[in-house]
Amino acid sequence: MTTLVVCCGLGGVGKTTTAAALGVAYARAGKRVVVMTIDPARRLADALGTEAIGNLPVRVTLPDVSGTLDALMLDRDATWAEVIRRHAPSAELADRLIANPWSRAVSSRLSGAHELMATEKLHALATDGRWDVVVVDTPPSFHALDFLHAPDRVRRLLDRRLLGALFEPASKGLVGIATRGLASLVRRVAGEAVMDDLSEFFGMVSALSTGLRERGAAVATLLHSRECHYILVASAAAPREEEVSEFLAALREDGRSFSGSVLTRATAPLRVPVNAMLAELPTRPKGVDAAGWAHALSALVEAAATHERRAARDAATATRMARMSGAPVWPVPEVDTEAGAITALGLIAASLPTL
Amino acid sequence: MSRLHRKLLVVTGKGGVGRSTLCAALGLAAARAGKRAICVELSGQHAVAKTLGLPHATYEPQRVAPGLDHRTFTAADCLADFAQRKLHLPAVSNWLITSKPMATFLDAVPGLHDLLQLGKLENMIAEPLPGEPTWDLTILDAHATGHGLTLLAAARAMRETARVGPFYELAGIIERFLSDPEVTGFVVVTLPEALPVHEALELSNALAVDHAAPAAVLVNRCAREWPDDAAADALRDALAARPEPAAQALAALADEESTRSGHQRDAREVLRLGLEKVTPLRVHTVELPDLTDPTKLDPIVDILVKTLMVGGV
Ligand SMILES: Nc1ncnc2c1ncn2[C@@H]1O[C@H](COP(=O)(O)OP(=O)(O)OP(=O)(O)O)[C@@H](O)[C@H]1O
Ligand SMILES: [Mg+2]
Repeated sequence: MTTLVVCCGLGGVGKTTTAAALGVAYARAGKRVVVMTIDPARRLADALGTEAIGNLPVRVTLPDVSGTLDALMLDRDATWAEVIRRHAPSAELADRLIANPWSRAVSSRLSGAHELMATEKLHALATDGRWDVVVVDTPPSFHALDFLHAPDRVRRLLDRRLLGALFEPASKGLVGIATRGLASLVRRVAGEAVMDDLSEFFGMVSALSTGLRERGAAVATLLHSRECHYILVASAAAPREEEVSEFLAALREDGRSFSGSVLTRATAPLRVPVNAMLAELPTRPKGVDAAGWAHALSALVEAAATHERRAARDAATATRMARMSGAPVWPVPEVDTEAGAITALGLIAASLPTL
Repeated sequence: MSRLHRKLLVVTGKGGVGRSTLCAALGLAAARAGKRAICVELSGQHAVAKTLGLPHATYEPQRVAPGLDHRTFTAADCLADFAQRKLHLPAVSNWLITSKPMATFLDAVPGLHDLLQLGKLENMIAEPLPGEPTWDLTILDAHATGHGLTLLAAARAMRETARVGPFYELAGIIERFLSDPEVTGFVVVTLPEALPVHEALELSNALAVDHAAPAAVLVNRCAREWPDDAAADALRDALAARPEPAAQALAALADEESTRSGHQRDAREVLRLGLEKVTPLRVHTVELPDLTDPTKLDPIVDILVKTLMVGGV
């Protein structure tokens, strides 16, 4: 059975990097792993080699690992086209749908569609059979919850029956005054031509709805299975604990298995307490400028105090999050990326678990 | 402000760089410089509201500080406004607009959320109805999710999708409004680190191609610099020469600080050189401190007043 690891969290917290580093950790543990990244920063994409080919896994060369690491960058337009081809009843309809302007707008501009594409791709990777482990990054969002709920919401929205009454108010006898009023209002707001285009689009896309629904059920089974592990990625600088607890509650309610939180850019405690350090401040050597020396000393003292304050803050955050979630918290220190992205991933991987 | 003579500042930047925090700070700075300003968020977001200490963000503008208001848009509110304004539909139809099927329609039509909210933004700034409140400066928190890199590309795409009718016209109005550099300025927020700077340059380039170079780049969370001089080197040497664990720990800390500071300097240099390539004009680059307490924005507001508001984006 393929192990799935889903990295959730808000934008800008280091989700993509964490997902890639988890991939390295699994490859080190001898697994065949694939990582799906979403909008990786250029340097990471370069390092992983995903820049050139969207949506197709490419092999990442890692030093000294017994497993293998593949990486791909989610291409939502291409994934939407794949979804259309998979579920459309005929190739001709698929072609028309792919060329339709409203359909083209789905993958980039329908709220929640990015999440839908991510789950479609995740399903494809998890059922492919080539990998022991599939690690996925999730789209940037306001809420970590979006990934859990958006795909189903969008699958439902792409069913014309939902909006049928808006498009053909007169044909059905049971349509009430309210619906008729609504339909005429919508026609006036959007204009006749746009409503005709939309009617055609929703008519076509409804042909996918059975397929989408069945796939949705299969994805749900996968995402609720015991092999699917959820990890929350939070930034030590702004852990947003309210959202963390909301996310945990939603996972629990859904019966999904939460594995723990990664706290990125966490400050490790100083090896020696600040007071002991400050007792060791050296005296100014002869020939060194007094003002410059005083300035350097004050910078050092301030750095020590800042470091200690951050370390205390991050330790307290980790403790609170562990208590709140009843699951482990893995603090990951900030790593120097100058040595190269792959080296940096290796360093981060050392702080991460394999589930 | 001559630099902030524009009516709208669109604040953009990758996730987590401090966009919402700096929107709030820009609003406070504008108000302090004597402008009537308003911070606007989209899709019911309330990060700026929270930073400004507002417990509930609403569609109706709320006063948050002397001279500064705040509001958050939702697609449904903006649709009601659109229906009334463009189609002269009576407010009675409001119950239809807020109905469940209408909400479904709004959610199901790709790009409609953005279209209606940006349309309202344009109305509010460029075509206020008699009796409606007006502001000298609007500051938009343009969240990175959803629309494309530059908002402008989103407006163009909406026009191409709609082809004809009210949505098409609205998209055209938005596009013209956003692409007028006299009216709309973009502010890019970044951090003094290699990757964020790289992304900020990509964004600035895309803006320069689509619209105009950014009005300003804000480098958020700059840490105190480790002095790069002989005395600081002497301090590190003195620490390294001592065997006590405490001295060694201090030496390690000094090394770390010096490396971090070096990266920060490098990042700023990359940004400076990169922006020179983006545009021959000078882009105002403002460095803002990493705050110990990010709820106390005063140090940042002071800098923004001095650099951007006095004399002007
Ligand atoms: N100059 C600063 N000094 C200290 N902390 C800051 C500073 N700027 C922002 N922060 C903190 O960083 C975190 C992220 O800031 P903010 O929410 O403004 O970012 P954002 O770019 O709007 O994020 P998102 O992409 O999630 O909308 C917040 O906790 C904020 O308090
Ligand atoms: Mg924000």
